[in-house]
Amino acid sequence: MRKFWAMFRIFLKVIVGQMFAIKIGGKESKVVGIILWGVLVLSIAPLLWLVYYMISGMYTAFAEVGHLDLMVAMTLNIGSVLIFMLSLMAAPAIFYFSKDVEYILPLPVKPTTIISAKFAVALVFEYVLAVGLVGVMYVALWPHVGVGLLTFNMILTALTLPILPMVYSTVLIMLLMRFVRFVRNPDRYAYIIGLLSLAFAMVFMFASQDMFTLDEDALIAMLTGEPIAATALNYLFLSNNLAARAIDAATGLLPVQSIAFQLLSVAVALAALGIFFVIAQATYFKGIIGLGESSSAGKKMTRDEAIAGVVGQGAFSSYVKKELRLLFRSPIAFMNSVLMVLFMPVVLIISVVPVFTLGNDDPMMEMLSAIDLTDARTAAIALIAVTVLALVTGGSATVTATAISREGRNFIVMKYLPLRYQTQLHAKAMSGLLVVLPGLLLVFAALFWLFSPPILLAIAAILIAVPCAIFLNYLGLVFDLLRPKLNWDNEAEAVKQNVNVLLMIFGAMGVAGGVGVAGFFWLHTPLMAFVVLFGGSLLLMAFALWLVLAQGSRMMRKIY
Amino acid sequence: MLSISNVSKTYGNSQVKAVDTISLAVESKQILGFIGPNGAGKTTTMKMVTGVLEPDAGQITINGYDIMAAPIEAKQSFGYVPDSPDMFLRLKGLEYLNFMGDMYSVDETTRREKIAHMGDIFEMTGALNSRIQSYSHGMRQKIVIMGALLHNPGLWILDEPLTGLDPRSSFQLKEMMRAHAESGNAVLFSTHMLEVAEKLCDKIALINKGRIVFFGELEALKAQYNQLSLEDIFMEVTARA
Repeated sequence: MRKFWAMFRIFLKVIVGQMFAIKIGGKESKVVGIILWGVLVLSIAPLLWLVYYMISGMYTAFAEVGHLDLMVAMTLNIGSVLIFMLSLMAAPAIFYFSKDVEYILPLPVKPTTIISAKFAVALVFEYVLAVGLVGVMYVALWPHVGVGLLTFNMILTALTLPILPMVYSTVLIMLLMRFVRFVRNPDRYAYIIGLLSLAFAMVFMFASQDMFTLDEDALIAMLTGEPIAATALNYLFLSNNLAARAIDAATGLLPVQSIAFQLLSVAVALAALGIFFVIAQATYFKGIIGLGESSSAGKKMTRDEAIAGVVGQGAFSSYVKKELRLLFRSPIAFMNSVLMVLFMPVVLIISVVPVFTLGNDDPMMEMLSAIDLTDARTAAIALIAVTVLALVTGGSATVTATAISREGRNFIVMKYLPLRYQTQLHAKAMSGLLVVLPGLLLVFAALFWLFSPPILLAIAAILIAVPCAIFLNYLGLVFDLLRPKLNWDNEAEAVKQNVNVLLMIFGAMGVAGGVGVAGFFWLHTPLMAFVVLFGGSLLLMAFALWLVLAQGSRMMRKIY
Repeated sequence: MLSISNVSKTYGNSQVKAVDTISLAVESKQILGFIGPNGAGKTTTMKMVTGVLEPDAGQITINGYDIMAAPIEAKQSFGYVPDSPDMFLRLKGLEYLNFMGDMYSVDETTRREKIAHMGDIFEMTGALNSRIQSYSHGMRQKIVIMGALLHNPGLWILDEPLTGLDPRSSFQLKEMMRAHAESGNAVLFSTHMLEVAEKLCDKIALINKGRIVFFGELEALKAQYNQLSLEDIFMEVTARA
């Protein structure tokens, strides 16, 4: 047991240390890290309130018709599915791709100790979500159940909630790692899971939109009508079903039955843990052996193929190509810096498509057809909205805000290459633009399709948006030149735990908000809006370009 | 080919100089071995020579170009192999070599010849289609060496180039260094392998705690220390300092 705790502490410390390690002015500051995480947690508060608002109403409605257990089970099942998805993303890093594995395997420690310590660490993070969800449920269930029994039920529910989904995800991962060679590459795995999660998030978003538009009767009919998905989830997450029945029994003032159901739920979770250990012992260590060798080795090249593959090009285009290759081949950078730019337009397009299937008398359609872009005031507002959109989209493109940080220890290569620093910086900015501009183009395509604006207005909108995107692109680069995060072991530290990214996103949102409010009050005609916004965006672009041209080399020289 | 004159460097607010007023030169037809214990200032010196770090004082010229005043011309004159070969891991070997060729403006004909030649010598041709990520430490070292030598630089600056190389590649690289020097060029390389330095170098620069404690021909050093081996001299000098 002592070895388990020692290992658990070390694994946890490494991960928590990485999470809170934020560099300010070259020095690592855990205080700033904790503050930022605190802000993040606080920002989740409105979401928790929203969840509370939705489920409390439903609990009341369902309790009245004697079906509270269905709704409780559904809430827990949704939590379990989320934990399952999160665990699919996080568990491989803890079990397989962390660098500690090769040091731990030779230690004189029982395999079960290693497995259980790693599982416990993964579980800790899922408990954060479980406690949040069950906490909200606890408050929502107060009016329906006696507090004493409810507290007992909810504590045990929170403890058992993540176990089943965690067991499913880790067993799935272990079987994949053991038998499917294709996924044994960290990059490939991250791409597959990242894209799957994104698809899942979108499906979840639209499905939940549909569900919350159902009226109470339709929802009860859906839940009691044994739909395949709901039934499958109830069997899959049996402990949730039992916990829901325990709560239902508590509302019916049947304490013995309630406690029995709750303990049964715990027993199911413990049994699942037992099965997990049996499978893990049989597959984990066999799956981990040779993991390092299964990375992207290509087809063997012949001498003639190598000679034929030699292609010369200009230094600038070669540098841009190198940047894009590294960006698209790094799952962390791709997901966070590229996909995020494309995510917004795709969501916009997907949400726009159903509008065209609505009838003309639909309120949404009526509202859209009421927008008259030939009207001067509306056209001015449209230009302001486009500027705001361009700034927000540009801000979400963090390619350049991490362009120096992503170099990590390779940064010295930038220093010894015989290529001017400015050229290298412009090449990095160009790689960012090649990501942002197509994203922006997609947004515009969706908007033009939806509103069919007059051609002059469309051209004016593009003329304003492009300099805005260039401005933010270069500004991100300046942020990263001023405070690059070069000392990292895991690229996520450079991309996700980078203050520059937050500065960029929130800074762009702030500027966008300012432009939106000021524009709304002062820019009344399209001509005035165009002149001010186009002129302003050109000035900002020129300023950012000047910063890189005039100060870029100096900033580069300061970094070592 | 390389001249380092009264160069000093201090990191941040440290009171200790990482490199303290050092001077040395590498002439054509010479291999200079740069040796010293860990943290003595070898890598700092090499980083200043290559323009990665700026010296606080002193001057460094390569082929007559001051690294601070004419950095592009100076950088074009050398090929540098840093101490860690873990770079551009998500590029394929050939993509990396093409990139380096573009950076150093190497024409396609020369590039083809060099890649084919060095690919044979280091037995790397077969792996050029794979990402560097999948290479062993030694293979990464070899691809970095190939990239650094692609533009046929007059001066080679190699920081621990033999670390991780298999005996055959190590032998080949030493032969290449010798041939490079004999054809009128120069090599500056750091190493902890004293027997290699003893056999290969025309001159030795021994650095300890940021200061050059000996710079000259190996024979002169041995004469100074009663014909002791370089290893014994190293032990004595670093223990005394």
